[in-house]
Amino acid sequence: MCCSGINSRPRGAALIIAMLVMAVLLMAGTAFLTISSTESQIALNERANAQALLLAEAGIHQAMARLNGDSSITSIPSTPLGGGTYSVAIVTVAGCSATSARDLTSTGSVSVQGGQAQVVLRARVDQVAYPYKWALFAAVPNLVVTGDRREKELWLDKGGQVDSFDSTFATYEDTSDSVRHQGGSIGANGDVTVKIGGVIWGNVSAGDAVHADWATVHGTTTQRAFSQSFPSVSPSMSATGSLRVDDNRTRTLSEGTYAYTSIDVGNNGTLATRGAVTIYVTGNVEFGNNSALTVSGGPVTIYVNGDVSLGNSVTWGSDPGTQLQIITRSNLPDSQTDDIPEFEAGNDWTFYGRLYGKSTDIKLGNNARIYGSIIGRTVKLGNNGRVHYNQALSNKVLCTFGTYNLLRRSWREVYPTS
Amino acid sequence: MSAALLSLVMAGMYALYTTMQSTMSRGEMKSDLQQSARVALDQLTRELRMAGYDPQNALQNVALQPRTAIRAATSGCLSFVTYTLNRSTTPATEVSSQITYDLSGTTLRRREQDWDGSSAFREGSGAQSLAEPVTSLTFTYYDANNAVLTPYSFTSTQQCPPTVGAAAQTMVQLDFAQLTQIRRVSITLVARDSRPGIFPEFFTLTSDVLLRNQ
Repeated sequence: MCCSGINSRPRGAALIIAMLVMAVLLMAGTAFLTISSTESQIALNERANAQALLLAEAGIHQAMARLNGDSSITSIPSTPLGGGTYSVAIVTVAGCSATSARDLTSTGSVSVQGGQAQVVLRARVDQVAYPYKWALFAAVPNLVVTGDRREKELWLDKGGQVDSFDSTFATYEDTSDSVRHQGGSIGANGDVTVKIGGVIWGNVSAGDAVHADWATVHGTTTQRAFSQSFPSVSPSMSATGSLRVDDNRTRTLSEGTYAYTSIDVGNNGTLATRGAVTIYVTGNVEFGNNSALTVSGGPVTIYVNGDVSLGNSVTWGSDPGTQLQIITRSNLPDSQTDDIPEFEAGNDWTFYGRLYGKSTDIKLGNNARIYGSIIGRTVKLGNNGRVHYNQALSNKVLCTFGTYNLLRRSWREVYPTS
Repeated sequence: MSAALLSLVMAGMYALYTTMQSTMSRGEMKSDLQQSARVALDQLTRELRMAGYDPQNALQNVALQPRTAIRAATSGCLSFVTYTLNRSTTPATEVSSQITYDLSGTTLRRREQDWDGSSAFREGSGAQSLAEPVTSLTFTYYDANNAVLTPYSFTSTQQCPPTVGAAAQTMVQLDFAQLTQIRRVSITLVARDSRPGIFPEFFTLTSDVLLRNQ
């Protein structure tokens, strides 16, 4: 009993200390909880933002797929996907034709605490492809040829050379050798033959065999494990009259769209274009010896449904060659072997531009000078051909009038303006 | 006796408190580190993703090499053309901008310059500090076939960060042809922080950016 007063004081102190300790622990625990829940919310918001971006991209690809089935759609309503939604607005603008391109605005949304994580993307799509990454390419699948081996898919006769330049920087003549030797690739879905003395500075790719034993290939060689598909091109065209340019005469076509049943330019004749010109030719095109196709301004696109026959010493286009595009027949089945349209040039053909003829056999005479890109069903170059691939063409579109694809340099995320 | 017990309990509590305090500080430091690295990398990937979107057609106007959306690239510096918003107009307008990211000491810097292509480069005058301390920033460049494009040493007026009117100098970087071939960029950023009495914390972030406009 004498010590009860003394004993009671420590018991009270212990209670206070315990309460203080618990208060400190509670405060620390609360702080931890707050920090971790804030961090967790930040992480959730970040994940929602990434999801919204991917949803918006999904919207753009969905819109392209839908447009390929029905080009008249004007929107994709809010569509749930993977915990969020996307919607796409579609606006018609001029592209390959006055109403072919579409501006897409795709919005991806994901719910987060306190609102929505949202990403808006814009891009333009059109019926285009980007096939011009080759100096020369023969698109037909491997042919079974029993006669003249030169009927095979891609054939460069003796002394053929392929290199590259970029006309946005300099003309081929002003380009240093070190730059010229950085590219210029050739290929075929079948065989590639490069005869003696040939020099290829880029790569050689063949779906079947590469025959280049007496040639020099500076890039890599790929054979029997390669294929490249190319789009069909089917422009709708109709014409009633033909275009004739007499010998030694010049005919100028000003900016506009023209349609002819045939074009015939006599010896030493010149067909000149001014500004943006599109020409549809339902039949054949013939250019006599020493004739020319000149381009001023541009772009100039010529669609030819029939055969093309050029005499000797013909010149088409001029430096830099990014304005002229020739599209020959490109919508026949790959399996077709009869009635194949031909593009045949005599000796000393000079060409600044790009030539696309997925269903056309292309045969060039000796000493051809090509500053651009050629894609044909089969491609044959005579002796001493020089092909200078213009790298500026790799971003040039081919209007396919078929499948919708993204136009390069049109994709962007829309930043909020407020 | 009870005083000794109390001291023992208090010593234990203090030890517990200091450990918790240290753990909490490390946690805070690490989350700060992560946040600042994430914000920087998020902005970099977002801008780089659409490199080549060029509302003023600046890339069509430039007369000198390079004419690519990626203006200059080394393993620690990247300069490219994309768009930014000019908010001084109503409504805000899209302008072509040259943006450069590099590391200066331990500071991740971003420079943004409106650019219309009238000169080869615009020199970023006001570098903005995005994150620090960053111990390493590494860009790896890939072409369409996923092959690494390796920077090499050559002499050029092209530099990263771009410098207007600079004399030609030797620098390990991508050449003009390589710049046109870039399709994917892999970014690795290592942030490090330390405070007195706490072990340094490292945080490594990596991101892969597919260039949508190339």
